Amino acid sequence: MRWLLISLEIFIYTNNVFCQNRQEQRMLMLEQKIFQTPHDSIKNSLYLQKFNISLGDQDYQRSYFELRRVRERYINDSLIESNFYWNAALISKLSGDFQYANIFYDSYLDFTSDTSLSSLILGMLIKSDIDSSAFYNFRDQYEYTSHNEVSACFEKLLSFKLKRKWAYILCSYLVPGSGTLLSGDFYNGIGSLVTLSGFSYGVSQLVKSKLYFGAGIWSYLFLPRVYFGNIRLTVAKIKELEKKKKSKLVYSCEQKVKELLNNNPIDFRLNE
Amino acid sequence: MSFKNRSLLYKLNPISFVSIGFMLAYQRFLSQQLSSQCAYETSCSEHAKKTIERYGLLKGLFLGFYQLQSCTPKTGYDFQDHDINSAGEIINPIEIDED
Amino acid sequence: MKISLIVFFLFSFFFSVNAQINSQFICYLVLTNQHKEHLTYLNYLLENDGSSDSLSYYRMKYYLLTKDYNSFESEIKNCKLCFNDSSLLNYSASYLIKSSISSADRFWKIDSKFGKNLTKNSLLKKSFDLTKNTQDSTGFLPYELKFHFDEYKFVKKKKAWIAAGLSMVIPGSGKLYIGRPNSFFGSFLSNFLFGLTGYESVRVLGINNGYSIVSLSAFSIFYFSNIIGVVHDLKRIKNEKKKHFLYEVATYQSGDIYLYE
Repeated sequence: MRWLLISLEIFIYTNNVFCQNRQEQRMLMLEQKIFQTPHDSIKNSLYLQKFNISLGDQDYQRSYFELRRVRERYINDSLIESNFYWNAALISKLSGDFQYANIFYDSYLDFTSDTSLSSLILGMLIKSDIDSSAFYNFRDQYEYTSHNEVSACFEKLLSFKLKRKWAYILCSYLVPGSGTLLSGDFYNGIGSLVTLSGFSYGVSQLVKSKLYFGAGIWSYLFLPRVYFGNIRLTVAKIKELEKKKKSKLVYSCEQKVKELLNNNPIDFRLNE
Repeated sequence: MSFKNRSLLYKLNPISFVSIGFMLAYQRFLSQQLSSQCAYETSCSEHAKKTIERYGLLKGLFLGFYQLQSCTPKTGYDFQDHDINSAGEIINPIEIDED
Repeated sequence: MKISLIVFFLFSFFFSVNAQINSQFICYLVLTNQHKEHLTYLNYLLENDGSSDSLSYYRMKYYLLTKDYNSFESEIKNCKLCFNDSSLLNYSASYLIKSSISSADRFWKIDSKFGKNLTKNSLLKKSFDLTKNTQDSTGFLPYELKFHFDEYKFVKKKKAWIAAGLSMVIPGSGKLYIGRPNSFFGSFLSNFLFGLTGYESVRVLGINNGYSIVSLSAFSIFYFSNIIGVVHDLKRIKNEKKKHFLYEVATYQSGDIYLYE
């Protein structure tokens, strides 16, 4: 009887512990503790725990959600605080929230003054998402002489603009289809030329046949649409061309950054 | 009735194929030249293709051209809020479901 | 032996106390948008306590909160407690009708079959019945909703043959009749212009000319599409107005109902 009771107790305990060890159960238990505690500092440490657990499980959506509940003013330990800023900057960048990534990264730099290569690489990646002036200020402030080709690559990317866009559009205004041809789309360029000239020829034939109403109506309905449509098409093709040229630069930059990251990996700091 | 549930005779109707072919040719060659912005969620040519598949050649063609004549910048004011999507385009389903 | 028994019961009690539904905790999870933890909590209660009426009740609320209407519809029959809560039933009907009218209709049938039919006299149910027979009394409708019902009633009375006839006489006028005034001008202009080109081509070149045939074909396509389209559009506009009226009633009904209070 005694052994039966003991084994029953062990069974209940391990069953519960086994259930509690599952990830969602763990998060639920933490949330229950958060609910029960009245103290903000204890709540904050539990929020931080949830944040770190979800980071460890690579559930980035959830960790980004938990991040917004953490208040850094309640964190007393300097190592935990610096790790928090680092993780927050990284998770914000991964979630596409570049402004917050920038804020957290600046807080990290202010707190630690970390000028290691990993930190500078992360800074470079975050600042380049904001705008070019933020990137240049950062690069000038932290002049790192090694791996200059990466920063040069980013600089080229940020300052990239297709030259003389106005020329394509002016060509389209003067000779419909020429702007599209120059931007590289041969078939659409010829198509614009043929369509507009075809319609114009048709309208002129109608005028010759003394069908003035018909000529007026067809020209009113179609000629402006085709003419301005051709210009809108040229603008769209210019954007495509710019994107295409930029993507080549992006690819080469990506290869350089990958190489750099292989040697200096950036990861979450989860050792508590 | 959806296209899948239609009879073989209906599905292999060459005139429907030709008319859908014209729409495809227009979309491929002429549509980009006009580069027009539609007030509806699906463009007039796409809508015409789908209505021809659903209702047959004549009715489908007429419904497609009906949308073409109705496509003006102010058309959206004739519709209710739940018929306009988040991009401000009019949702135009092929079927009028009672649901 | 006695000590073991005491310890055994204490342990069991400790673990079973955690398994009771804490409604305040559930409200907290809802307020902080912790949907995953919410579902985990409900599953945890299910594993420990097994299925119960109160647990089903909270599960239904969870499905409504996360807009999982399919799960809601499939499991509502098993929730006896739900059929006693008229505000929950009205809330569900209001949100189901916005996803699809037929799902709301199925829900009302489930309520009448498995529940106490508490939704029979709800504003939304009466409005839904009113759309089937517009001659019934509208005394139960608040002033703000009567306007939308009158719009629906006005459109429902319209006849397709009148719209088609008007479109035949003046292209585009059928649109004014059915309630699409903003697209009248486009329709009228396109028909008028193509008609003019067709007339001019026949007058100058004769009917056997290729250009005349093209112009007349273009005009006839636009003309007949205007007639057939307006008949098809009238069906659509009746459906639209009905949905709009029911959506407004659903919004009005669910205005002061909160799932978690």
